[in-house]
Amino acid sequence: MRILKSFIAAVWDVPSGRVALVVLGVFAALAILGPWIAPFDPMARTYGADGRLVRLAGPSADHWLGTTLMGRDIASQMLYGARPAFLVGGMTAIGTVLIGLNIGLIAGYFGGRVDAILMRITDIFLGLPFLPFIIVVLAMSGRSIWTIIFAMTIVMWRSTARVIRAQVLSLREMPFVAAARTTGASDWAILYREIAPNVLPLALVSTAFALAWAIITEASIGFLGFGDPNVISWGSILYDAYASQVMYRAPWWVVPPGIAIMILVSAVYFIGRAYEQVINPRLRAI
Amino acid sequence: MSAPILEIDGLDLGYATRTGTAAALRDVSLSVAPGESVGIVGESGCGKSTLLKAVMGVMPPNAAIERGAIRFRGTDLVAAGPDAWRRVRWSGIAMIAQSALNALNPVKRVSAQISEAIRAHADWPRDKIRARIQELFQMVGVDPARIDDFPHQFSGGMRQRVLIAMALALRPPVLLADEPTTALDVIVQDQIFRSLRQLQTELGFAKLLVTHDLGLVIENCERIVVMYGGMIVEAGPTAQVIAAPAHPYTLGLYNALPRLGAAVEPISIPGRPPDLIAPPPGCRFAPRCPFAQDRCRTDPPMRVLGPGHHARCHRSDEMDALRPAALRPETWERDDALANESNPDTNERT
Amino acid sequence: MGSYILRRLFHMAITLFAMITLMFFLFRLLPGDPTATVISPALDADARAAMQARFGLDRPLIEQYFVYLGNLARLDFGLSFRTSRPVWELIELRLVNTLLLILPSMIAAYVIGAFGGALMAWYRGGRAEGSLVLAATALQSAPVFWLGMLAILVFSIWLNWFPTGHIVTPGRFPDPTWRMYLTLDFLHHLALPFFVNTLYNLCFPLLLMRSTMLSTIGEDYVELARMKGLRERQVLYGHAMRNSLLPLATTLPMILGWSVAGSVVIETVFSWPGLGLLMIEGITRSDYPVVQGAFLLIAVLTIVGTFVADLLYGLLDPRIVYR
Repeated sequence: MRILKSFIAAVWDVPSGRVALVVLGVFAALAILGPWIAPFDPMARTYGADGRLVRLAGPSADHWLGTTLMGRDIASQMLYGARPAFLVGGMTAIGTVLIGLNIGLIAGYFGGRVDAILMRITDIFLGLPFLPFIIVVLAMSGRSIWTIIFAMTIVMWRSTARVIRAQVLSLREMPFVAAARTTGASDWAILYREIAPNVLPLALVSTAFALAWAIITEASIGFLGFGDPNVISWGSILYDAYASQVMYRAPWWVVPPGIAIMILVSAVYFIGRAYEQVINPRLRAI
Repeated sequence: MSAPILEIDGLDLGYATRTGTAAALRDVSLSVAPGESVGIVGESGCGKSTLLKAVMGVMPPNAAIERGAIRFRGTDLVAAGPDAWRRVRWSGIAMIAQSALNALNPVKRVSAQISEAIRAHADWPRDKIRARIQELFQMVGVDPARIDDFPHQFSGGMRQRVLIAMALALRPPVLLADEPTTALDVIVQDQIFRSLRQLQTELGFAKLLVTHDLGLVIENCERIVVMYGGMIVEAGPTAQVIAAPAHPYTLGLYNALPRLGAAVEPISIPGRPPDLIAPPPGCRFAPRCPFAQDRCRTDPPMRVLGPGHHARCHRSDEMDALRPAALRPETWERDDALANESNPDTNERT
Repeated sequence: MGSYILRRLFHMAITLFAMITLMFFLFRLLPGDPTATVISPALDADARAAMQARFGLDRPLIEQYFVYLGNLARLDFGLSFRTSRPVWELIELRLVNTLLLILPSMIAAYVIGAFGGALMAWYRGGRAEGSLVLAATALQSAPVFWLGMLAILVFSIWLNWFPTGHIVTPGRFPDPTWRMYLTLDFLHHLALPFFVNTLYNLCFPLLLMRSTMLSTIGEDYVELARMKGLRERQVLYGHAMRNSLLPLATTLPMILGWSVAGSVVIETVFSWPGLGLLMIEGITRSDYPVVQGAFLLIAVLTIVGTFVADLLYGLLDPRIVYR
């Protein structure tokens, strides 16, 4: 918790990071409150006074963002879609960094055979085609939100592991590690008490980038039609629009989900970069 | 005395920062005669590196020359414009950079880095350039067979020699050297300076050496320029300045010098260099000066003390009387809080 | 150096072998009997068994594995469940289509990104640079399929400049031939996906180059280059940019493999008959030998790409010593 607090404080000090934090906060609030503030049931079909389906209606006072081909309220779907973006993105980012951090720490610190084996495994995962692999896993074990998180985590930890390992390799040679060793601390104690705190900033940057990437990927999976059929996500809205073959008559159906993803992911990128600037001041433009 | 080859005249330079303009150089005037050796001393942050960069015309984008002239062979480079200045760089005024490790591009062969400097100013055939580089290596004492090596293949001392060779490539009449041996051990440092002196005798270039080490200046230079807080506080022939320092800051630097066989311990000057964004009124050294008086809150005049020897201090004419006190450590022991009063900002700008 | 390459080749072989094994069993784990989609239920049991035997599915799993390995060694990827044609035949064409879209657009993205990022860092701090960073980040944050949809909406539907998808006008080449790549029709179809993919992939090299340059510009050797009296252009391209290219250049081979894998999305939007679309079709139709073949191909591309990236680094940076 303390590290999270110092993370936010550090990002807050960078102007672009501050804006991004506010944007992220607004999106998080919408994700939490979405189902309560949504004006309609996102799956309900809207019928007009004449009893006919209100198909592809443009934005109006009733339907802020118009309706879909099936007469569903797009604004409500958008609000419901914020949750899976956070849930899938957040869980995947956390899972990715937990696995990547530990593998990177162990491979970098112990070196030798352990490193060789772990890095070969990482290489295998690096060779996996990212999106196709996730889709095969989804085809194999069913399209659910948890499978998506699982599959994404499996292919995403590899980059974090490599970044962390490189950092540990240089930290391992630092005097404070030698000092800890002379006090008789065990390898694991040195690794997790001395070295791990020093790679945490890097791990946090990794988390931010993993979060950004996971949100985009989740949308892509939804768009390809492999999303959880019981969950409305921004990707699935775009899939419905694309599959309807009439989306080009209804820009209000296509534009909002993409804009939402773009703003949210941009905010996450800016937060990650702001923190990167804090831990590595040379990245700062004068 | 012949006409100066390099003449800095009333130079003011400021850095634009978020909190205001830092007056990095104020009223700096200095001239160097052909073949002469001049040493500039001062603590880090006193503006000596800034001065060299200004002379080379490679200041960071937020720096601006506000006033004054930098004349090379009588031509004002500031007024002449960037392209004329660029042509003088290296062919007229060359520089031995501070850190030999970082000053050489790690991914380019040394020969390529020297030849691009030559080609920027002279249209020589390839063979002539290579022959010249080999000759330069010979001159500075590096095996000429190694001209095509990469920088990381040289030792620290060798790299410094390569940098000297690079600086001499176009036989510049003026050579600037910015702490050229800080990263090296004392023995190598000594060798480098010895060959530099020898080269100077052979080639006759003028040398402007910047360092925080007064000892190096005494050993290598005929004239001393002492800088503090972006200003020249004392300048004069080395022998005169050492025999009779006329500014308390020079006295302080002299005291800080370790002396072989002397019974006295080196004394350091307490406090830090001034904040250049909001410098103290009057004499910039006053907050740290053990001899400061009320009148030191006004700008001190530049007093002439002898031929070519002048100092910027209200009390420089009483210095004969003050010098014995300056040699006692207790004179410099002051309340640190008082010394730091005028400088709450520790930001260093170089 | 030689022993380093040998060792890396050995590692690469192990990785590849592990990948092949992993994928073989992964695909056998997939639910649903692939033969069920191939074979008409009207067929009797005997015929079905005969079909299964044709695909080698009647033998024990471990035997199937070794047969698979043996076939792979002869570059035989097996038969498609659906069409009974050799997988390689199907993949070959699709791979060409994908590479024709991805390669030029990645090269364009990297060239523009490298120069753009370098110039952004060189003229840093201005308002224009700030807006470019914002724009690039926003573009990078948008899903590429959405950018594709918008592009179709604007340039195909509203302006009617480009076709909405496909590689050539449907029906013009009933049998795909090499000749179709030489037509203006092909270029006309290529333009929009190429543009979208380039624009999207531009952001990464652009921002990476910019941040690398920002730290390179502060290096002493850049200042020394200027002190030597080099022209600003020489300092920019010969020193600052030359050195900043290192990290960027080494990402290219790996990113290439990844973007072939990521082509799934852009190919879906533009109905571009490439490897990605083939994989999606294969998955939805349970034609696993095809998916497996495509998978393997992309894996090989990525693994070889990583190897090339490491060697490239050594070529570009003389400080790297291979051990």
